[in-house]
Amino acid sequence: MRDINKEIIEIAQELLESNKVDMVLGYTKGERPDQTFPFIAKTKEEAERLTFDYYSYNSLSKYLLDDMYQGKKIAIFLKGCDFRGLKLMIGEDRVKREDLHLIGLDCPGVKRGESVSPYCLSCRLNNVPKEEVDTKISTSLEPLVERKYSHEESFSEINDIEKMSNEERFEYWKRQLSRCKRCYSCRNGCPVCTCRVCLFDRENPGYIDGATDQLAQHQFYHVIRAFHVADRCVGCGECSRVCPENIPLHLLSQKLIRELEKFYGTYTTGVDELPTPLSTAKANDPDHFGKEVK
Amino acid sequence: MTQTIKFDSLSSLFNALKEVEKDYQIFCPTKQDGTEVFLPLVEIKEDNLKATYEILSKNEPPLFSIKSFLFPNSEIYLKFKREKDSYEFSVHSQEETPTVVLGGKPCDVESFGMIDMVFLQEPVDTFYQQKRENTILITSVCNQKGPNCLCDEFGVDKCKPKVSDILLVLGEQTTQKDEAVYLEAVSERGENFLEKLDKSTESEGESNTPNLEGEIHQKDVEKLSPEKIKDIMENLYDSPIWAEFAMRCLGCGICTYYCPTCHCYDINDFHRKDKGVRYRSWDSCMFSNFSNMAGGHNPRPSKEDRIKNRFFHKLNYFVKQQGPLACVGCGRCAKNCPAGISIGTVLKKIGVGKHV
Amino acid sequence: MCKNPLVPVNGKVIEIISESKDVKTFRVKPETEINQLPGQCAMISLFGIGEAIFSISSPPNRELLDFSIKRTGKLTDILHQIEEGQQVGIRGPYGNYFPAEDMKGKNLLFIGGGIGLAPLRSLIEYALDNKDDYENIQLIYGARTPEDLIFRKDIFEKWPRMDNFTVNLAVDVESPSWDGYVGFVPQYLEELAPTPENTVAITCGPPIMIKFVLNTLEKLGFRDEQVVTTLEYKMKCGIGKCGRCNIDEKYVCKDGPVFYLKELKQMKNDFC
Repeated sequence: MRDINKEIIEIAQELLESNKVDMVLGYTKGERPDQTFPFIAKTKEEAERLTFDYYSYNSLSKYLLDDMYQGKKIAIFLKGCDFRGLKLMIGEDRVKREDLHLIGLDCPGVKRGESVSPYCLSCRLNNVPKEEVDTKISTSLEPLVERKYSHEESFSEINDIEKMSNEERFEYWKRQLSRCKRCYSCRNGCPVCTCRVCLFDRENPGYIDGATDQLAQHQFYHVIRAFHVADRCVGCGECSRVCPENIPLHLLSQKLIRELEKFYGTYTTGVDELPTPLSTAKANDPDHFGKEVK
Repeated sequence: MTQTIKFDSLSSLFNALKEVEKDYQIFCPTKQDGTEVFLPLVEIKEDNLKATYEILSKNEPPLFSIKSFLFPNSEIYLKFKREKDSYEFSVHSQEETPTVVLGGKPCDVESFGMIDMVFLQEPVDTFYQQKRENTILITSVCNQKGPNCLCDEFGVDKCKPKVSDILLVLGEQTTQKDEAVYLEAVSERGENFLEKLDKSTESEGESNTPNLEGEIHQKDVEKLSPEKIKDIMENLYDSPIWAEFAMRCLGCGICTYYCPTCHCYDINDFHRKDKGVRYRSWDSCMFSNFSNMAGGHNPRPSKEDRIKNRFFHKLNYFVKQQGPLACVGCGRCAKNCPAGISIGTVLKKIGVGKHV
Repeated sequence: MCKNPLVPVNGKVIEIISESKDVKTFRVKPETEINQLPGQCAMISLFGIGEAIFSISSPPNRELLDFSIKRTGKLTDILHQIEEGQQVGIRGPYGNYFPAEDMKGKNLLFIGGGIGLAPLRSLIEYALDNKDDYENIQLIYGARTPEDLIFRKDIFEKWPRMDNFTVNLAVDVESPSWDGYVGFVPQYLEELAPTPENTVAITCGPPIMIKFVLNTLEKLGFRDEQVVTTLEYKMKCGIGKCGRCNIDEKYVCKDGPVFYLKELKQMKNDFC
């Protein structure tokens, strides 16, 4: 089996040498064997450092919104979830498709510590469709996930929490969120959190203040953010992965996805047509205001 | 000035602490939902003690530093109330009860030495000063470096930190390899507290601290010279390495909030109807609007500017201002940064340090 | 325990002067003396709204402290709505001061733009209070439009009438009510070409203007030790502890805001 790194490096070098792109955004190894970080290669030599493995967690599409990439032609390596996040950005005119050379990868799942990351278990869209990208990497790594969860099974963590009473659930979340330090890493790492100026970055907003240890404000921030990305979540799990306090933030998004299904049916971000269900209002939208929906 | 008392086990130490609980606010480390936290003693139950023991015995600092006990995440310092046409304001009284923090590591307490240099310099920050004088630091020592640790490089003595009140040595860490716990006072404040603890029946009385296991006084790396690092950094101001780090930096606040030597803060007012407070709270120089001015101008507009400023502050500016490198090698940036940027990676990139 | 430096004292706004459409001068009487030197600043706060640092535009030994404030953000917006008699919080003085001692016996060349005249005024008035210590004073001052010029009593009436004091005013754009010089301050400075002989140049204004003025002064032959500027940065504590206002290892609140050009040139970070 051809080494996937070899294929990646060859493709990147070809793109750089033929001047099709100014830079290639991919991954490279860190010092420790379980460290892989985002990396930009601008020359043939730098491209030698590109790699892809089970520790390639970061969502690369998020970086494209940064100032330093504007106006440049960029080749970007995309896992399944990352690709769907990018499609949202393209559909919403945040990035220009013609400035990008998309290189799709079949993602084998990523590790968390020694085992596979829990979010990958329910991922069914880890492979990037060949026809939607400019280049598809043909080599695949051995998948980490043997059996994919069914759609119902992917909500199993939510089901466990819903077995708790309302009071127990509130205590659970209060306890988890009490550890929040408001580092905003969850927001910064999320590929679909793409507002130019985030609500929580405004100067002197009246709805939240500077104190970083107020439990009520943690609840406010996390719940609002979950609602804002409810119909956009691509299930990458970065929010929970980056959180240093191990707060299971992906559960908030997962819960909202299931609730949304009751109103709008299943919607898969990055696959189904835009606009996302909550970013538009139609005359025949369900209106169950005040009544509980089963 | 050494006085050591011995406890049979961690459990008996905790029982002795519970006996003096009413005069002190005591915080200890444990695990909650699989994550390390510091909790007040009253919330620590018998079945938490296993996790506490684990945290105290491992050669790695706990997840979060003990910075917030002396420099809280948010701190109200003024209270005001509207009386007719004007505001009456008063300084918010600080907590009087002395605090005991059990379980920082030597790197954690050495960082207070650096924060002291800034906060206790004229004009003195009296809020910090009061907490500093009112807090007893019980530091658990290390036998060797942990996976991300750089204590030797930054001159932190992992067995005998300079800034501490009481050293906590677990029998397991010594040549005796037993379940005992030894508390050794290294300051007057520490001595006074040990006297109180010794009164408990749980205490086994005075003892000598057995030797720590391993070649603990052998340091495998030379201490970095602040002057040398400062000079190396001087020439790297325009280097492309900062852009390389910036391209993967998320711009979050993890490195700054978890770093025991970071101390940037914000000041804000909060009011509702006729009452209000002024408070200071942690802020991060990595946030994009940290140095934003009214009117829109921002002297550090790009991530590259900010990341460069942060590492220059740690390895160059602080040296010029105060003398030492502003890092204790705790390794939290390395462990927690989602993008793999840490002081270790920077040191490696600038050509210093081998096994970071 | 001595008082914490973050705690303010009470102050009262005695008089408010409208300088231009978005600049007002607030004349404040603090409860306890601030005893500032020219170039220093103080933190003004409105309880419940916030706090910000402003340079004191009046010289020492005056009963009231003048703060000339432009309406730019949340706090200044609300400040512009208060009335005379309003209570404010005040703490200071912060920052270093103009090296007025070193300037003795020299000509003083002030170059200001827009609201930048405010910190310069403290030194101008100080020099006028101590006329015998200084030689000629020249002020080159410009704003975007004639309506944006501040301290109108001073620049049109008081200062031009003083001996050995030349006032040269400019506006950026043509205006029907203006028959003076039209152009940017650095341009005007170059045209006027004041001599660097025995002169100290002190400048303040928008960062981009300072940059061009410094270049022009160098062209005119001013050495780095002859040029002083005062900078403005976002500040919160004012005492060099919150880590926000640094340019390299210098805190603008503590090691500045007054800097010699020599110091600025040694800074790796571009201050603007």
